[in-house]
Amino acid sequence: MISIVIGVVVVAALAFFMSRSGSETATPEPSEAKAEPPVRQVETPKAEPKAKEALTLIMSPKEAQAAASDAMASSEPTVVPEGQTEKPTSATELQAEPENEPQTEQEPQVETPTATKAELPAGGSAVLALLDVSGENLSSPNRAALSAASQLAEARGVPLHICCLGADTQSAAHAGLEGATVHSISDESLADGLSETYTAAALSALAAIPADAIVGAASTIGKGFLPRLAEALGCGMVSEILSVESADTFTRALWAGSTIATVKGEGRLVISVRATGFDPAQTSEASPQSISFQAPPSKLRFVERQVTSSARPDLSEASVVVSGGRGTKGDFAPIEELADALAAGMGASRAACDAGWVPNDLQVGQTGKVVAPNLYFAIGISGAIQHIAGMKGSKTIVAINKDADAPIFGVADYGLVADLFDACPELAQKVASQGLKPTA
Amino acid sequence: MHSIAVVTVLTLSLAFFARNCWRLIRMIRMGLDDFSLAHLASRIEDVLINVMGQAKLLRHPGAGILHMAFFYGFLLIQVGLVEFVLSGVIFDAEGHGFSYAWLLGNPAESWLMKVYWISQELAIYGVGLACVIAIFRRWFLRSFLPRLKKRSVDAELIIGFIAMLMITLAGTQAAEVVMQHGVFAATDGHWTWGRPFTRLIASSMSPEFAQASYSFFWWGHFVTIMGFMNYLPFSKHMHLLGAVPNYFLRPRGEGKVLKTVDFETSEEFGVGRIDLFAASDLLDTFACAECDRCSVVCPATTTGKPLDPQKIIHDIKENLYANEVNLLEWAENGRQGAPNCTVDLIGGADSEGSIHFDELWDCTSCGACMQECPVGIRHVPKIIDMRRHLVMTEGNYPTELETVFRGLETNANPWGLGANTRFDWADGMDIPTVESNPDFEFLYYVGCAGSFDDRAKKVTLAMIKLLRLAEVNFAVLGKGESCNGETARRLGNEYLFVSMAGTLIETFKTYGVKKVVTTCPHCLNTFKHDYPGVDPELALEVHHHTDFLSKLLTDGKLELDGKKGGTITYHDSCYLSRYNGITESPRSLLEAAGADLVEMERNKDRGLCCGAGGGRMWMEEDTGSRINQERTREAAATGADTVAVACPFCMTMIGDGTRELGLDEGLQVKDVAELIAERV
Repeated sequence: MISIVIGVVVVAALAFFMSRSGSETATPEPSEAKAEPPVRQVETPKAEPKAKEALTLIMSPKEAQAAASDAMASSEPTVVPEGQTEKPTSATELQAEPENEPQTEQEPQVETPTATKAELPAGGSAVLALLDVSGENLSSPNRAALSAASQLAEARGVPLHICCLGADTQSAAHAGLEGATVHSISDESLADGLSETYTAAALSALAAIPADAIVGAASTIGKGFLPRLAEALGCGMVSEILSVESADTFTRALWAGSTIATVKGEGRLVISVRATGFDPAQTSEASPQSISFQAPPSKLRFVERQVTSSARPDLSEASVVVSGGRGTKGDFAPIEELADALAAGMGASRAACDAGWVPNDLQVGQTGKVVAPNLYFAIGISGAIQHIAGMKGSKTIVAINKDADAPIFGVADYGLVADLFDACPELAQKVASQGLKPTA
Repeated sequence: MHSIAVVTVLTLSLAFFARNCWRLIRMIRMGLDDFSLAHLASRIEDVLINVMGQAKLLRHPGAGILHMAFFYGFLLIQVGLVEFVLSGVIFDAEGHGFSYAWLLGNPAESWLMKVYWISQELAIYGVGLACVIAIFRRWFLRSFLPRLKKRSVDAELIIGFIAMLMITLAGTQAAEVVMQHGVFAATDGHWTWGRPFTRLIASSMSPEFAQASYSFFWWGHFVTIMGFMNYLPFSKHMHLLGAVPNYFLRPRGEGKVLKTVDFETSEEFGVGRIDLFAASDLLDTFACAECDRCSVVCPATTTGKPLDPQKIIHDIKENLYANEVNLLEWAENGRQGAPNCTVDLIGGADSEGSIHFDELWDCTSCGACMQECPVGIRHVPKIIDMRRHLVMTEGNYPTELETVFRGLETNANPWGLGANTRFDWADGMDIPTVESNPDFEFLYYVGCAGSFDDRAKKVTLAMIKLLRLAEVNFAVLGKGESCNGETARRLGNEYLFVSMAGTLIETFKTYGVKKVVTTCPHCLNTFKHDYPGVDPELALEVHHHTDFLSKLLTDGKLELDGKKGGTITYHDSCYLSRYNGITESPRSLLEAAGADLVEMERNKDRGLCCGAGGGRMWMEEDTGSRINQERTREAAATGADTVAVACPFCMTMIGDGTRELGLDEGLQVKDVAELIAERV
């Protein structure tokens, strides 16, 4: 009886489903019937088995501007307030935006951009290097940006202006380069590191120094405000250049460095500089001229800065990292000793973390932290691919292992076949006694 | 009077039952309609094998035969049920109820009637015996049977219902014999051997007792049937309603073939809300009998992780019910926009949902749950669907995967190692590539592990040695090789998968690749089951190296030295055994290599996953115990000196397991190809 009822129900259900899929044309086709699955061909260089070594891209100002917007969208999103992403960010708007302006999705009126364009700092034949500074010394990304800017000024045969931006611009006093004029914008508001404020400061600098090439470091702050500046100026942007080829041609890395693109920019340009591409500039004393700057009211508010403090440098930022693995057999003392002697960050392989010898957040590797210090020590680590994936970007790799066949020696620049319990203390002692502590 | 009462109860029960069934159908239809009758023959075959043949249930002979007794008993009793209900409605002149004998004739003469009687006797007492055994299992053997450890009141109630049905039916019929009711009167003394048990019980009944209890038995049986029928849609016994339609209507591919995503028109990807599931996926959940067969084989569940495949299915059903009112309203308004679901499908650290974020990332996609499920539920595709939502719509996934996705995007391998070093393993070896040997017959697709992982590279070299010895006309893609996207797909990054597959398919087409050999089961499965969904015209012939080497051996292209090997246990990789049915080739190869083959407790299509599938290879395993250690212990328990594997991921996991457990001195881990290469 039940089976009859069930049978009837099943047949009714079937009939229903069938009638439904038959009558409603809008319903999606059943999966089997899909003759053509949605294939989206994404063109990558690997589509062609023979990857080209270099690509040459010529950007029109329009394309360059689109690229700048892209770069802006991909820069740190935390500083973009809701609703504002849709609007063109121009200098006047930033300054004059009333607190409670209704955020409509309307297209801005035609007059507005023209009006703001008129008030924008005009271009001029100069190169302006914008440095985000703090503290006494110029950081190496800033020095690299200076090198790039001076190369560009030379290539264009135009004067170079340098403007240091920050809450504390004392380093401007020794940011001098031959033939360059040094300026500074010093304002408390810049201490918060908000891209919006930096963009406004940059526009103030440009109002005082007409320039049609603006160069800055691709630092965290630079990555945030340089694309905004390009957008505000309505000009093109070339991001993270590796070299200056000529007055308007640069190279930059694509696809994680697997391809180098040569990029030509037209018209006014904002350029960010990847620090690894240039030698840091050697600067001299200078007497900076101060440019006045009034921070515009902003919808963004700096909330707090959280800094984790540790006796050892943070693993992902340390310039030297010493890592231990299964070879330590749980005794990390020699690793710690060497790390301390080198003022290095300490890491570990997955095996060591899994065994509970060291906390999990020290793990370097595929599933842990990915590090790229100048100097990396892999001690008692066999070199499984899972570990290598996390440290392959290190500039110099030193391996210490008892097993001469360990795969780690395949990726190491220097290898020592030794017992880590003998080698580490000896090394630490030599470093300490000969004052070999490397500088960041 | 009697007839009116019976018809009234019957009508009310059926009406209530129909209402509840209609509700189920309406709820199933909340999903995206994907029902189809294409491949009708295979659908019918599916039902015959799995429902009539009870194939999945018989994987466990004890419980399987017991279920079969219930199942066939149930079917036979349905025939008797029609007679039974009519006997309460239609009466002859003497006041005796309807009997088939009215139509078929006296059982003493009619063969049909004899067969019918025997069938009923078998059914009633067969099911009765099965009830006794089931009760015994649940009360006395509970602690020995893993699946029964979790007590289910629902299951006990169901057994109670069935037992009650059998007792009342046996009582009714025995009373009828004693009272010389209808057809029994006609046959008394002539044809009794067809109903020996009924006669036995009847012989112990006094006429007074029979007279007094007949109505009690009859109504007891009738009311229990009506009650049981209406209990079905609220219990795990709903699988009676769900199993057949599920086997019949489910998409072909047994859950091994994942859905494709329409990136052109979709506005959200994957399943983050109940109505985004396919209707077939929702039907699935109504077929679940909560038997726990999936849970006891799940590598995540059994190692103490939050994931439990049965719970996933149950939670999907619960979520559907929890949002019932809003869903129905949305459907009535023409399915405009998204329904307002008050209970989220997926919850995480800071939100409540039917399914927790963590559960979804525990799955190794090993398919053990689907292999065991007697009603054909497809757990893994649902989990992947939900991962797709997390990855593509929300961008919310474990941080470790950031590295993997970036590595795949930029360097076409999950480790993110330089794509230009992909072919470095072949330095100085003069390996034929598709460029140096454009007339190749077989493409050896080396894969990411085989190209970059030092351990797996040794397998690649062993394979190259064997291919050369057997004079196979092969080539590799060299630097032009790229990952096929398996990892991205199982991790729910369908978009990345489609772009990677597109790239590789272009490469295949450029060089006219038709036949592929691979040393990785994941690559094998992707080419075989995933690529047809990306490019239906790409008719690749794909071989796993164990199959391929086994063929070379039988064809005499390879000759082994015939020396004795050690004691070897073979670890089945899920994507070989369960997804592609390859279990014998690796074993025959090992035997040919002179090994004493010993089996682990869980082997072939019941093998335990190494823990690396479904993208777990690239994730931390920080809850519960380690799957790879569990498997390594099982391998070590065989007393073998070598664990043979046929997959680079298994190699890593079992290899790590031996080192973590300090077993690496006595237990080697080697690929089948390496073991063969040692014997040529």
